[in-house]
Amino acid sequence: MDVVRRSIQALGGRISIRSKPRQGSTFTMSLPLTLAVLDGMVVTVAGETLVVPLTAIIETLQPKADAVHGFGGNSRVIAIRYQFIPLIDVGHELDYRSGFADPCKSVALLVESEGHVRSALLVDAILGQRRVVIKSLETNYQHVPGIAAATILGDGRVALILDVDAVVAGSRVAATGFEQLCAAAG
Amino acid sequence: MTETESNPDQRPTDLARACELIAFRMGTQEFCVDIMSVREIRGWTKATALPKSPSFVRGVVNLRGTVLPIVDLSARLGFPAAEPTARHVIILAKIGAQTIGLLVDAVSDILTVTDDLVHPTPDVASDMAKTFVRGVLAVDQRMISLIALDQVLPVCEQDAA
Repeated sequence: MDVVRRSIQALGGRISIRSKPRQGSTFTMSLPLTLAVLDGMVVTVAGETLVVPLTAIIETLQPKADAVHGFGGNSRVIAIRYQFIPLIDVGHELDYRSGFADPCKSVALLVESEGHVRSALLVDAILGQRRVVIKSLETNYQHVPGIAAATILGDGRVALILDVDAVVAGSRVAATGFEQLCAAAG
Repeated sequence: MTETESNPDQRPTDLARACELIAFRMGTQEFCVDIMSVREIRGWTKATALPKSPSFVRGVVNLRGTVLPIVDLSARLGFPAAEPTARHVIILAKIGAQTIGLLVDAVSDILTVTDDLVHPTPDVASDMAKTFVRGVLAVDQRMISLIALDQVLPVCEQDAA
């Protein structure tokens, strides 16, 4: 019983017991929902398997060559229904690869992040949708930029859960830096 | 008594009085750590890479439902990074409240030592020596460096809590 109590507390939950002699006991366990499970879309990026929280994803689409436009240096945008949405190469943002992915051979996830900002995340392929159990990286390691947490897939491998807000914010900071350089250079 | 209370943060001077040490090999050099900080010894399994991490952090692995980082101890100590194969070994060590995996070439034996067997660290111009080594043992004509693990993980984020 002590093991149960410690495990629940480690997850940030609470457990209480109410007992009536000769009538039985009631165990009440409260677990924070957001710490436990997550509905996610399992994707591959540069050979790595990632999980993107489903709550952030609006739709998925296959970019066509004529819908992708270059914009200011290394940035790209994709035209979706008369709107130009910034295209974020997840493999490049997370330093999984130094080059850029070909949008026509990739899948774009249209996501909405903090402040109702829309971006298109470019991933290699979608493997499926899964409800996953969230495992903290901070317990035994530390915070990793762009990654919210980890999970363990059915085959026992660890997959990282993408922090969509952080990746979108990170892609915007890099672009701003470049433009400032251009302005300074005249 | 909980596990964490019974194993306080080890100060360098306490290590010399540790009764038993696990000796392991990395490249051509041998090292040992206090056996009380070792939780488990496992074979190598492929780790999931972590983006934007120091090169000595090979990634994370799944240990019975817990996600643990794997640190290439050779690279952390300043040697060339190891190319892990199935014959490499992971030592699961408890550092403070965290458990991490240390990638080493092979574990050799368990040594029972007393204070008089531990010699002071040779004074050489080596970052590794100053940061990690707490003493040197002479056993059977082998030189085994006693290392402390508290500096293994990058220090800056550890005190956040």
